[in-house]
Amino acid sequence: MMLDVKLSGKLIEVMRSDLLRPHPFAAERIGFVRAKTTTTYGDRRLLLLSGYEPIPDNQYIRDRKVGARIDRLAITRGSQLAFLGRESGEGVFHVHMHCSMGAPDMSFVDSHEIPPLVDTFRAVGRLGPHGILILSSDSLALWVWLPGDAVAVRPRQVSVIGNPLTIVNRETRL
Amino acid sequence: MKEERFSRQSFLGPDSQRLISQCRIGVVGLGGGGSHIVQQLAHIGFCNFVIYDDDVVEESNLNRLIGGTSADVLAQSPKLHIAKMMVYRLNSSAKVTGVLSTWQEYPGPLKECQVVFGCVDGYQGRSELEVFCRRYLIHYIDIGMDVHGSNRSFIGGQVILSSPGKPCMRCMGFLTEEKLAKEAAKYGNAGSRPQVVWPNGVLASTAVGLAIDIITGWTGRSIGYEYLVYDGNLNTLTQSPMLRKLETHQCSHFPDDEVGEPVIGRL
Repeated sequence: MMLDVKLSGKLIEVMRSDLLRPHPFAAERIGFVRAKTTTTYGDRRLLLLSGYEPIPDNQYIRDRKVGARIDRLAITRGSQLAFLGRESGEGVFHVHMHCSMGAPDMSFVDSHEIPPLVDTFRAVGRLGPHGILILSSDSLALWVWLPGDAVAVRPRQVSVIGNPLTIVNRETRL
Repeated sequence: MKEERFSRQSFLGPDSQRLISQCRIGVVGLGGGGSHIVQQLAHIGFCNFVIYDDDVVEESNLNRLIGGTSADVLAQSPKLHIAKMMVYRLNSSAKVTGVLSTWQEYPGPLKECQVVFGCVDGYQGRSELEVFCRRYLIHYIDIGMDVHGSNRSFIGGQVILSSPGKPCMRCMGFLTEEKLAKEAAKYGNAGSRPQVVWPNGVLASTAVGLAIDIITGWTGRSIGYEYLVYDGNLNTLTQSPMLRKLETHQCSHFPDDEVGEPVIGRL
């Protein structure tokens, strides 16, 4: 199975400008982005990212051990998005940013804290794709749990449909 | 392919050939406009094509179909095969997904494209293709020409770029409900439209130039949308005055979050 991802240049701009905003006490920001899959042909699938939803300032919890921690209201909102997406097959992706260059990877905290949250979304919206999107200063990376899959897949190619057009393969920079 | 082949286009940027080769390009309609476009894309070094046409070559096509020959008329060659051969002769390792039907009958491969050229007839055909490209997050570049006038002939045409999140062909005033309704009223009585090779060449080349700019960013311009009006009598290509109103315009016809297959919701 081959998975490609597309998102618009406008969406990237919206996410970056939100995630780069300083927070009163959290070192990082988090958001949610909605996504849908479609079959192209054969066993090839396409994931389309669409609407971004920032997490309000007052839904973060002070925790010096991590870059950012969101409260139960924010988690509920993510689950709500997963629930609302059931009819349309829309899923929810946890989004945050690493201010480094190159293809980002999950940190130790990311790999322990975020997948359980994604499991919550998967439980609520079983037919949608859910996962994790991490932006860096010049690239991005995704981990995608397709419906019914126990293990996340990494996309073969991510296309940012903006100007200029950008095609990201694992190690490419935006 | 040997690096020397593209040495004359290195001004497009040090990474340009890699960007071009990674891009998946769709061309819908392989007639007078589409055949020009496919030829140019193959020369430039594109390697991944998705092309559609369900028609065969006829005698009346030979005044403008790039690659078409008298032998193709005799053999009733599909225009698709002519386009594929054009690509393979320049790059035998290119991946060409050629579909011998309308794109609506088999849209799957087109969804994966990052850029689609629309070389179709009629406003309705263009509208449908634009809707599809918005849904599947694809830069859509439309070209078309016509010859009109009664006592004297006038050649007109357009090159339009419609990109996700940016003004669409309705925002730009090219597609209107009035035009679509008039066209629908003439259904079945369209007749043979006058077509000649050189306006197709101008429009196709301009469209390819737009695509190259989007893919490589070589001019440094941030083109979100474009509408160029062709006057074949004056030999000019000028930006439509409609664009002046669109600098801060937010497209209301294609909401940003409406992607993928449309969903029929319960009331």
